[in-house]
Amino acid sequence: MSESKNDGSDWIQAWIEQQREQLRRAGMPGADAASTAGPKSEGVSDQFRDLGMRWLEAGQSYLQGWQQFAQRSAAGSAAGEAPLKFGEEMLNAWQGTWAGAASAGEGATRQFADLISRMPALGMAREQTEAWRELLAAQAEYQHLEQELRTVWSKVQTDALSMLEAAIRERRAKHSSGAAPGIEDYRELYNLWVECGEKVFAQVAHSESYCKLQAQLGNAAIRLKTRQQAVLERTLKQFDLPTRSELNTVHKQMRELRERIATLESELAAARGEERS
Amino acid sequence: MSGSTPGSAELAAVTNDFMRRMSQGLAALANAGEVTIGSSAKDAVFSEDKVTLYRYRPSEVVAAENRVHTPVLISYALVNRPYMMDLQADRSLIRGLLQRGVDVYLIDWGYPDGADRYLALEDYVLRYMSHCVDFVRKASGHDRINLLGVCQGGTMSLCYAALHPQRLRNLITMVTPVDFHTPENLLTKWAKHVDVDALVAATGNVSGEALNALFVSLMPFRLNSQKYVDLLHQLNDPNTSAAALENFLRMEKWIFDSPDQAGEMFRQFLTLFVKQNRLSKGTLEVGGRKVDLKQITVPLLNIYAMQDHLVPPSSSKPLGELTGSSDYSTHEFQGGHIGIYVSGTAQRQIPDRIAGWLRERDRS
Repeated sequence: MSESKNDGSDWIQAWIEQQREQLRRAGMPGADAASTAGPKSEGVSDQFRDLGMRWLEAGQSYLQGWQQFAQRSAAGSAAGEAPLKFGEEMLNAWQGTWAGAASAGEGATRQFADLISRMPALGMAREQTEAWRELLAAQAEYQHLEQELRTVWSKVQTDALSMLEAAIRERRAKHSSGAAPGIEDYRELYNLWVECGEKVFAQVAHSESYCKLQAQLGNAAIRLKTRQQAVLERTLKQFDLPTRSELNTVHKQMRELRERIATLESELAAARGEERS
Repeated sequence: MSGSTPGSAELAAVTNDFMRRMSQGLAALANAGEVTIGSSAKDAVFSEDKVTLYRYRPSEVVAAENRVHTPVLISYALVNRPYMMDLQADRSLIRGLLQRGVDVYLIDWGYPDGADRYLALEDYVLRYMSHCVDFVRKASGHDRINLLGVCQGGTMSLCYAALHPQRLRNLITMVTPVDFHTPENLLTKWAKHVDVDALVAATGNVSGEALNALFVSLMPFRLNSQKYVDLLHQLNDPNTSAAALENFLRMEKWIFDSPDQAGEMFRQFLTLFVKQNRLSKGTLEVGGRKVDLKQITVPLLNIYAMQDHLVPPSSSKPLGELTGSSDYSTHEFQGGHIGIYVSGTAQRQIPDRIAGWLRERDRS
C-alpha cells in the first residue's frame, strides 16, 4: 500500500464523499442503506407495492363490473325484463371483471383510488366499496410510516458517515505520532464504517421515538394485512371456498373439546388416586 | 465519481481489489456442499402432537461411579431449533454432558402450523413439558429429575418448577430472561408499542421469517452485511479450512431455520412476560394457577452470558432475589447468546460447570 493509503488520506476521503453523494442522489432516504439491507428491503417493498397495485386494479374492475351489472339489472327490472336473465347478466359481469383487470392501467387505478376515497359507499357494491376504501386507507397509512422510517434510516447512514470521518481523522493523528497503524485497505475502512453504523444505530434504536415509529409501522402493516384478508375472504365466500376465519372457528372448537377431555381425564385420574399433570 | 476527483484513482484501485476478493470468495462459496447437523446419537422416546422427546445415547466410556444418576431434561426455546445444543462434534453442549456421564433428554417442540395457532402457555408448560417430565421420571425410575431450560425454554422451565417443585431435583437456567424491563432490553422497548393482539389476530401464527428479520435488525450493519463480507474475505485466505466454511454454513442454517410461533403462545409471551413483566412481578398465572418463583426451592444454577445482546445479563440476574432456593449458584460466561453454546471457551467451561454442579447434588 502507498503512503497515502497508510495515513488514510485521499482515497478514503474520496470514498466518504462518494457515499455522501449517493445518499444525496438517492433523494429517497434510506435508498442507499447498508449494502445488502438497503436494496433487499427496497426490492421487497417494490414487490408489495406492485402486489397492492394489482389488487387495486383487480378490485377496480371487479367493482365496475358489479356496478354495471347492478345498473343493467335495475334498468331491466324497470322495463319488466324476465328475472331469468339474471344468470346471464352475472356471467357477463364476471367476464367483464377479469377482462377489465387485464387492461387496467396505473392512471386508471389512481383515479379509482382517488374516487373511492371521496365517494360515500352506496348501493349493491356498498360493502365491497367500504372494504376497498379501508384497504386503501391502510395502504396509504403504511406507506406514509414506511417513508418516515426510511428518513430515520437515512439519518443513521449520514451520521455514521460523519462519525467515520471523525474516526479517520483521529486515526490519522495517531498514525502521525506513531501511536496507531494507518488504514491499510478498503476492508479495514469498511469494518470501521460498520462499527460507526452500529454505534449510531444503537443510540437511535433505544430511543423512545424510534421504538414508537417502528411499532407504528408494524401496527399499520397489521391493519393493512387485516384489510387485505377481509377483501380476500369476501371473494372466497362467493366461490364457497373455505376461509381462514372458518378454519379458526374449527380450531378453536377443537381446542375447547381437547381441554374438556383433558379435564375429564384429570378428574378420572384423581378419582383413581393417580397423579395429576 | 469523476476521474479528476482527488484520490479517485486510488479509490478505484482499492475498490477493485475489494470486489475481486469478494468475487473469488463467492466462487469458493459456490463449491461448498451441504452441511450435516448434529453429532450425538439419539432416539425418539415420546411424542405428543408435534412435540418429540429425545433421549441421547449415554456415553459408554464413562465409569459408573462418575455418572450423574439423575437424568437431565433440556427444554429449549420455541424460537429456533434445539439442535443448537448438539450442532457438531466439537460444538456440542450435549456431547460435553454425555462425556461427563450425564443422561440427557431433549424436548423438540417441532414446527407449529396453522392448526396450532391456539396453543397457549399452559399447553406448553402444563401439558407438553409436564408430560415430558413425567415420561422421564417414569422411564428413569427417578421421582425427581433435573430440568435445564434454555432462553425462552428457561422461562417456561421456571413456570413449571414453580408449579411442580416436587417433581424436580435441580433446576438449571441458561441465558434465561426473568426481568424483561431492564434498560438494556432492546426487544422489550421495541415491543412496547406493538399491538400484539391485532398482530396475532391478523397473522395467526407468527412467522419465523418475521422473527429472524427482527433479530437481525438488532444489529443491522453487522448481521446483514459484515459477517458475509468477512466470510468472503476469509475464503480468499489459503489458511481458511473447509471446516471453517462448514461451521459458518451450519450456523447460518440454524439461524434461519426458525419455526413459526403458535399465535396464542406468542401473544401471551409478549403480553404477560415481555410487556407486563409478570414473571418477576409475581402476577403471572398459568392455567389459572399463580406462578410464584418463591415456590422454587430446589437447587438452582443460573448461567448467563455477559455480552448477550438478546437476553442481557441484567435480565437473568434478578432470579437470585426472586427464587425461594437456598442453594442458588450463578455462572457468568464471557461471551454472547450464541457463543455460550458454540465457542471454544464454552465447550471447555459450560459442560464442566453443569456436570460438576449436578454431581455435587446427585443422590441416587
